[in-house]
Amino acid sequence: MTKSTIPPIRALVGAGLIVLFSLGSAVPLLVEQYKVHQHADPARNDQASFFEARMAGVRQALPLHGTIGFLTDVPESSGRSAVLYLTQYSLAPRVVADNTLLPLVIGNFFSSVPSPVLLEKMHLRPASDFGNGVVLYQRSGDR
Amino acid sequence: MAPVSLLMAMATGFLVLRLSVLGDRDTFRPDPASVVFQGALSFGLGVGASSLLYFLWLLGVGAPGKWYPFAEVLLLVALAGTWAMKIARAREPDGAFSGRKEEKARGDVWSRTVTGHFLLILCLATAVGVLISLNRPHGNWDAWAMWNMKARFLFLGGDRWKDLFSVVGELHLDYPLLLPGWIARWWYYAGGDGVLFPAATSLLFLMATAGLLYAALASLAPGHGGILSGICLLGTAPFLREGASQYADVPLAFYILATIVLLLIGNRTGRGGYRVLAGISAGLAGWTKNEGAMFLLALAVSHLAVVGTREGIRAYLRQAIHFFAGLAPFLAVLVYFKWSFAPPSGAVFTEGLVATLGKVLDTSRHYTVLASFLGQFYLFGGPLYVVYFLLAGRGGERRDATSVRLPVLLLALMSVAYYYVYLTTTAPLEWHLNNSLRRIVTQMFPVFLFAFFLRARTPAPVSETSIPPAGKPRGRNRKRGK
Repeated sequence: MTKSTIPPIRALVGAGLIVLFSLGSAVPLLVEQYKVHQHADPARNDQASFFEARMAGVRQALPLHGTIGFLTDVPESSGRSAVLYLTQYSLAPRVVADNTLLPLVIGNFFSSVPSPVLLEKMHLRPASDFGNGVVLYQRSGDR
Repeated sequence: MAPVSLLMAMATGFLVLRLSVLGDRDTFRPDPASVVFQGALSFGLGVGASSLLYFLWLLGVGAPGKWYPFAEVLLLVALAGTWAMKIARAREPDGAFSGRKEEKARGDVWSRTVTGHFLLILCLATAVGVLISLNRPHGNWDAWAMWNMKARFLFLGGDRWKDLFSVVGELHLDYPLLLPGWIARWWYYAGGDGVLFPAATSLLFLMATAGLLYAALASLAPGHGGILSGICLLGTAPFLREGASQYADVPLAFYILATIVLLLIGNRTGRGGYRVLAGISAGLAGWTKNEGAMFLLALAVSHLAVVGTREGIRAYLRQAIHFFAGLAPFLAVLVYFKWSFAPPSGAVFTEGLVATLGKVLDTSRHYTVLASFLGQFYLFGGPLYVVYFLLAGRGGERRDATSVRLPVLLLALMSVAYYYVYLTTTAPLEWHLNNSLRRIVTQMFPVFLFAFFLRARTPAPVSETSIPPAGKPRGRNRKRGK
């Protein structure tokens, strides 16, 4: 059986448009990602990588299982939830609960650590300071 | 051990595929499209089966210890043994699937040009995928916040993997576990939770989707639809971005596409095995993401509408039984997961009738949703397809026109359903649209391309004249032809 072929010029124009579109779409993305790769350090540019490095010390110190509390100086308007989720990702399979009522509380601070008076009110005392604003607290009376 | 474990999973998928459609020599012929078809499906089915097995092991036995690999090997041996026995016993009937033979058009300048460009785009897409993975080794937000975080619980959590369901609820604990289960399994064989494995999974699904799309069209449609669709898929920046982001949307897109392709091959060959495979694939779509449930509902309606109206209810029921046989085990696990572990997820029907009706009647919300839909249509190259269709027109054969009804109706139903979800969402509308619509389009994009190139004319290769007429498979296939 012989099938009719489409008019070559129209077919070629259509296919040519597809070729141009694919190049026009993929090449700028390649250039963009190449530039990002050249000028950025994933440990700084990528939030998750940044937190992985930041939480490495405390990850070693904590038991593999269990639930720990969470404290940060980042307000909700500046991305408090993101800090909580990134802390959870970095510390998994431990559960990070959004409160300070547990025996162990992880503090993740970026501009200032809580004052001793505030910690006293929350019945928290520093157990280990891992630097870069990462502090592990213990609830008073808990071991 | 990690590469071997990938090959083990693919071998499992391959054996499931071959056992389901034993003796279909037309589909399993030694040409590039067929090899790519089998490779892509083997990967998708293997990932799904392995992920499910890992989850079931966690559920029934606990943390995978030294015995887990034996369970996988046992499954593999059982499948291989069954396959070997069936081959030995059965006098294999010739396949009835009148897929097109390899189009020998290598001398054609056009064929060489378009194939060369496809290879160029393939290289570009691979480079983009690798760069995105290097720039964001843990993936984008949802990748680390949901999929990879859950995988860590499944792998590192040991017998306390269920602690996962105690983390903050905003991290979508109701989402099913295909990706986390697969990644945890891969980490188990690798011996550590390296970032390479989620990134590799993401890229493999991207390539498998492109491969399946190419191979399905190369087999089912005349001309260069397969290669052109591959160029379109891998040459669309938003799809590429999503494909390398370690999200679950491209894996879901893969299973949606596989379901449709397998259903259409099943209809053309009359082989129930393809419909069983389509059911498995649809079940894996449901096990990938909550949107998979929306797909299952839309598929049930569109399949009934297309097959029921054309072939009658009895024919539909016969097909549906095959399909459900594949779907049922995965649906059972999904229902168990939702019932036992997943907290309720509420995006719809949570505000009451009056508030929902108020949103439906709010014209500004319609405008916002429509504008966002049109924006995504533009970003994914929508105008290109309009212009292409105006230039090239319709092609294919009468059966292609029939085949295209299922994916078109499916896409239409899914679009309407998502339109309603956005219209009535309890989340801030603009935020919801900005954060999810691109991913929804990503999930549907490969099926759109499949339907488009199944129907649109493409430049015909030289050997087009060898294609048999629709419904009349040649030679030995005639007896089983449909």
